[in-house]
Amino acid sequence: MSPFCASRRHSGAVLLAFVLALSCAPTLPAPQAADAERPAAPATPTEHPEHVASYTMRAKLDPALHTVHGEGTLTWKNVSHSPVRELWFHLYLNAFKNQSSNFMRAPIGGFRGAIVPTDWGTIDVKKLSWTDGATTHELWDAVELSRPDDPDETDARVPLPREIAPGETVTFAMVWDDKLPQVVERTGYDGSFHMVGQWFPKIAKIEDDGRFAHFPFHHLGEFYADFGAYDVTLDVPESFTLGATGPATESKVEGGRRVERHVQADVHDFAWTAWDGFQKRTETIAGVTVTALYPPGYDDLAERELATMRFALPHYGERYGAYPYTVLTLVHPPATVPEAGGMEYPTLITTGSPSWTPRGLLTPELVTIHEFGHQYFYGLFASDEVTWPFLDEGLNSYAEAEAMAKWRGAGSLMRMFDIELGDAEGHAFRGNMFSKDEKVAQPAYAFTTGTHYGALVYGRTSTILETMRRVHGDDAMRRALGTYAKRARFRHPRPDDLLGAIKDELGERAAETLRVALMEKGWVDYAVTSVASAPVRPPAGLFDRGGKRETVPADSGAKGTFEGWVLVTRRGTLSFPVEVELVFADGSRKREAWDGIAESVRLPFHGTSPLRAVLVDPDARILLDEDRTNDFATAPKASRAGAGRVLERATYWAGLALGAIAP
Amino acid sequence: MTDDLELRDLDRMRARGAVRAVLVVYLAELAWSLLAAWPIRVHASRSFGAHPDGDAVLFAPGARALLEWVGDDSGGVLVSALPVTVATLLVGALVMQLPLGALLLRLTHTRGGIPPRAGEGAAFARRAFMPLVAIALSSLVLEGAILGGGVAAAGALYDRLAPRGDARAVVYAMTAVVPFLLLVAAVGVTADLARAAVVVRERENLGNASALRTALRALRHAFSGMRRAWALAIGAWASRWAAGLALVVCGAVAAAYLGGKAGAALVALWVAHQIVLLGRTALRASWLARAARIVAP
Ligand SMILES: [Zn+2]
Repeated sequence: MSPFCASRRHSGAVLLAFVLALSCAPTLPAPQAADAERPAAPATPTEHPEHVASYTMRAKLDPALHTVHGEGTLTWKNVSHSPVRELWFHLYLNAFKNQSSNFMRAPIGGFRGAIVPTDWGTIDVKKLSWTDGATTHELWDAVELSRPDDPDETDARVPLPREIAPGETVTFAMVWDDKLPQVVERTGYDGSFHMVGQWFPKIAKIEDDGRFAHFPFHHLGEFYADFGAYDVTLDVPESFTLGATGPATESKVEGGRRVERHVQADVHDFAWTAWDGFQKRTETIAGVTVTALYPPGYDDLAERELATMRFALPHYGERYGAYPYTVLTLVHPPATVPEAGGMEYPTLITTGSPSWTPRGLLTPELVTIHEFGHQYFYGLFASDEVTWPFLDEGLNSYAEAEAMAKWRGAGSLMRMFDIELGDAEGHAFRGNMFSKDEKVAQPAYAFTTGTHYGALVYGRTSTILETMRRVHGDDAMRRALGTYAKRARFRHPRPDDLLGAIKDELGERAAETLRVALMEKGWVDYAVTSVASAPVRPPAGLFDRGGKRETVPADSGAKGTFEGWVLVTRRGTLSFPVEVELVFADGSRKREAWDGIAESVRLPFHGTSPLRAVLVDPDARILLDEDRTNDFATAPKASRAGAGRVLERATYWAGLALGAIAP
Repeated sequence: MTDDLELRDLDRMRARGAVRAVLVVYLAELAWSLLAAWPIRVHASRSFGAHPDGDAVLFAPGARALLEWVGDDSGGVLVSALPVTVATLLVGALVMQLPLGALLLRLTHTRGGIPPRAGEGAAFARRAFMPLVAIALSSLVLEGAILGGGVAAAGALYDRLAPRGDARAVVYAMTAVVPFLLLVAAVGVTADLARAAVVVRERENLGNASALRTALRALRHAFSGMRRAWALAIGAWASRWAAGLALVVCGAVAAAYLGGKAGAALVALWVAHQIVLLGRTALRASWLARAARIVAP
């Protein structure tokens, strides 16, 4: 999802919340403690995942009551090594049932979703049955909807009458009723607009050891699920336009109802939208049928979003592997419900930005490319978004910034008033703000505030990887993440998979740097500590030469040569190789490379011109650098370049302002 | 008051006859703008002045340094320098009534074909200062209130229309602001007529009545001028306002073309931007002369 509504304040209250939450934050397993039971990753991308949880469902929307009646079957295979004695189901819509839900209770601000719904939402499962041979078991009769110490009803436990053995496949019949909330965070209705996500009883992902990765729906957490095939028949009023995961394989209008069947294999979720206001445009891009659904008057934005996909589909295909599905639907929600925008589901993404967004402000492109990137970092890779949010949101934010810069250059976030603002630079600004507060690699629910979550998971992960890209080069980074993408496809990767790919392609030092940056709040700040520059002179003092004692004065013998040194310090726990640029009074410049491993380096120079100034990291590769204002220095007695441009512009703008208020 | 200054003939009340006074106003505004801009310059110089390329780093592609300079809410320019600049500009709005007074006298009065002396301009500016401040403050407050009303009305309209999900709701809402903007313009034009009336109608009484009473009388002249010749007044003001806007656009084009470079390009940008400001001051003087002709007896 997109963090665009995250605020950026860093207040005392935030710090206090951080300190309080730190004491109960869960600790992560050490990254080296790889799960020995996991099979080795294949060298070539997996073409299809094993289908673990497949759903055949029928859903009927009542747009006046904002309800969905659902029924269908779940075919589930125990792919773990252990027999299973119970099942866990996510009932996400119950997060919006009341203020006792885990979602609503979270004392978390600073991110999206921080509103109380004006109309609550629920999911009521009417039936979950298992016909096992000649016996039909009504499983839902024994459901445990909540725990004694926690009234949250999003994480339901269903005991089984007998064990399901490893490798066994079983089918359950389900009937349920949804009441959609007024849009909260990602899902719900507004008027006749309906965005239907997280809407069916969804079995939790089973891990190799037979444990279900189940969790209550947390305010900052997203999802985690097994792959499967979805065959879903949607039934809405005839006047409504539908958008859904997967291609429509059947479509008919009957008795005033529009009925569409959408079928998609190799995915782990299914979302749909229905609205009688949608405009529609369809275009084939790189072999994929891309459909834009958008409110009236948004034709310009729809074109901008489609243009984004014309770049993004081939670009992501080349860097992270081919997009394997035949369809992609872009849903631009109406302006009244931006909370429904900026979200990803398999083959369906929601976009955002007001219709009047100027062309120089690239938020429509950015949100589109970000959500499309999730087709990889969430969709195809399907990492655990709750435990390792940086693996989807973080890597995806890096991919977004990389793609936007490749497509739109330095002004990839904004290009206005002769300023080119980069997306990666925006991430760095946000991501470096809280670098010492919390680590990046921690579960979503462990973050103390939504602001920290947004800044660290999205901003800092992106900044760490973009720094590595700029330091190691684009080719090396493309290889590294390409390797990760190959190994991760359909395989629910973990942090070790990322570190492994970085180690294999960029080496041990890069992998260790990444590990410290993600897991140990690693940080770095290069600084020019001191500069010396003086004419070369013979040693002064008393010298006995040819039987006579000579006095050589201190200021004698300058011959137009100069020498001196600069002292550069590396602070923090990360290190990167870095360049140091020496700028001489005659205008010439010279670069020195430093491996950046030691804590400081003294770089001597000798030449025909005195040193005027020195600059660390002249190409601004180290986006992680905490303080850019100590990356340079002017030599003592040399003239500073100053701030003439700022004075010029500030004077001009002050003149215009004065003219406006003082006639 | 008694002196031998007399009103110019109406067709000789022209800005082009008062080049030196226009320059004085421009230079006063330039000096105050520099004063207002100085805290920002100091902040930029302290942060990036020692960079080999100075503050060019703020204009570098990607704008990383700019983001931090502007966005750091513990020591960035927005929190540590901009408030001083804004306060300086607000004080400047009042101080600038002094050169304005001198300009008004120079535009409208003569002594047998010879312009009033600088000392006379200064003396008039001092006496007219409080009435001009009263007019400036009241018109600014009124304009602010109208703008606020316009924004509120547009917001309310948007909230009513937006649930239909139609992008045109924004267009309708923005259109709703237009009448308010026209009203603001009308207030501004009336205030300018009142300024002119202070010099062409109330000069003789300046020492005898309170500032408020003088301002009120000048406003009454302005209202009657608007009643008499509102189309003429608004047309004359609008044409110069449009020309001023065109100058600002030229300034933006110059900035885009010259960019954030140092040396000759920076000097050229200084000159281009200052020509824009001088041109706007001249257009303003031209309009004030026209306003004086409207309210003159
Ligand atoms: Zn995202």
